[in-house]
Amino acid sequence: MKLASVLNNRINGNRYRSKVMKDKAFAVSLVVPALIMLILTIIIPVISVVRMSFFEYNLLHMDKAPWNNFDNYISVLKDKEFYLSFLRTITYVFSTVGLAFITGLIFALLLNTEIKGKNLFRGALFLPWTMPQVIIAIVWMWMLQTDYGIMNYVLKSLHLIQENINWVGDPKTAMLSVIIATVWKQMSIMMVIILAGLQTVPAELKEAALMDGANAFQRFWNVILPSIMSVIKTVTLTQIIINFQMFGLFYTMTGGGPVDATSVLSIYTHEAAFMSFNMGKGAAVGVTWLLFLIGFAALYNKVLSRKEIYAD
Amino acid sequence: MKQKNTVLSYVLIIAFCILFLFPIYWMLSTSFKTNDVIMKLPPQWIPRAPTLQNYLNVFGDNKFLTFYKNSIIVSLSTTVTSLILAVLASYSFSRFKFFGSNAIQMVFLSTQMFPAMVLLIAMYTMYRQLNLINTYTALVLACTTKALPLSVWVLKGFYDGIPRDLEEAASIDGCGRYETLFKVILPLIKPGALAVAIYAFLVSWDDFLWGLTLVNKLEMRTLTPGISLTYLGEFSYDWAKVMTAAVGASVPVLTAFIFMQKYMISGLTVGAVKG
Repeated sequence: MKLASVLNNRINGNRYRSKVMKDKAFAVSLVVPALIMLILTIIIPVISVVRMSFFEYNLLHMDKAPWNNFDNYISVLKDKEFYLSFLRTITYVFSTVGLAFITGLIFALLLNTEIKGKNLFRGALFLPWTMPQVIIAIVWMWMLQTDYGIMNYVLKSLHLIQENINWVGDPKTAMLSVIIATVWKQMSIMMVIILAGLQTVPAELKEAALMDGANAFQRFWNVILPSIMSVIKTVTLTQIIINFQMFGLFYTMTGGGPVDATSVLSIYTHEAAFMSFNMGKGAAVGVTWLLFLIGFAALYNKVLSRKEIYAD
Repeated sequence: MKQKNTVLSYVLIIAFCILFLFPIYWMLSTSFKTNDVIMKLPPQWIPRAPTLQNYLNVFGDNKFLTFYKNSIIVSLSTTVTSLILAVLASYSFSRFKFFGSNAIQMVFLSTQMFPAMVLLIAMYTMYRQLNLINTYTALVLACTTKALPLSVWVLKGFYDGIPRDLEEAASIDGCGRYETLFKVILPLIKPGALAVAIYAFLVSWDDFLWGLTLVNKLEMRTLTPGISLTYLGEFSYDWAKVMTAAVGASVPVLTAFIFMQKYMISGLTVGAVKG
């Protein structure tokens, strides 16, 4: 009897164990294809970029790549243009994300009322986000064209300017032109995601604040904002990371010019690696850039988490 | 008071929408004008003598058609590849825990942070050694990588919303694991799958950097680098033609979005709001 029950247990145990094993095998087998893809196209390139940054890699003769004693890093860190392009990138990132966030928030608050046709408005306002960057670049190049562009015409008709502005071609306005085009594209995604966040704020919470006599601004600042903070954190951080690597709009609209006024990190790296054929230096810029982003993302998460409550 | 507020919000929203969508209208409107008309001020807000000549020129140009064909091939292949990979991986992340599964998920999400330009430096070298420069494979691999992390994240959200009892019931009915996934679960996450498919298509249609650097033959160029390199250089002042090419490049994504906006927006927001 005893033996039978022990045997029985062992069989059941084996069966159970083999079911768990099969589950695991199944679970792993589902992930493997995506994982291979990730390793081939991201993990290996990242490792190899780090390695490349310590060697002398020239695009024209790649067969020999000698160790060059941190020469790539030294030449990057000694280059004034590197710091300038970093500063330009930061200016660009924070003005675009800031402006897109503010306009997106305003539109989201407008749409989060009891108006009809909400989905229609939301869909219409989302259209620019679906358009390719390069198309957005050329549409704005045409809007901002010096002699026949509609922007100068309207500004002149309203007597806001006397002379036509050479938007993309003047070092003073080139960055602004790219910022306008970027904000136009990205306001949509901010609005849609903030709106979705606003719709999760519990009605009781808002009512309770109303009962306590909070005014509209107090309700927004103390109730609504903290409840959507995690959404705001996610969407702004994503956009910051995306804009840090913006290339298409710059390359098409200004090519980094005029006189380097819009030469941001992506343009600087592209020039070092593919125009001057110095892949080693390009890799060194890339590694510095990556380290900065990782540090920044960690810090950003920490700072913004302070004003966060969980609605659920 | 309340009614007045509502009227005010309508007026505000409609005014903003018109202002905001004006560049799209202006692109369309310019594409129906001749260059003589374009170069005159005051501008014609509505084309007085609309012409299709620009469309005949652009779509009669073999180069443009080649770019178009290449973009369609790359974007559709990317969509299918990333959909398959994401459907499988996110199901596993949603249902199973195994050694390292959390870590792998984190890696998946954080790969969005790696700047494409940094990856490109290594990838260009790799692809050159593997003879993958000027191939669709190179572009599809690169675009899939870009679309995959968010796709996995969004689909995981959809799977999480489906009760586990369904799988147990299917298993009692004698369904195998793959059968359960494809016949029982997959039909339920169709909205998520559609959202991910459109997203992957948009991402690869939007691609500029990979198409610019991993391809240097005219017959392999995709649409966005093609327009930027040939139309802006050669016809720098032929704005009517450039705008027509822009309309041509936007039409597939704009129509795809207009018909599927419900799925697209719900898919994008599921990931963000949950996270």
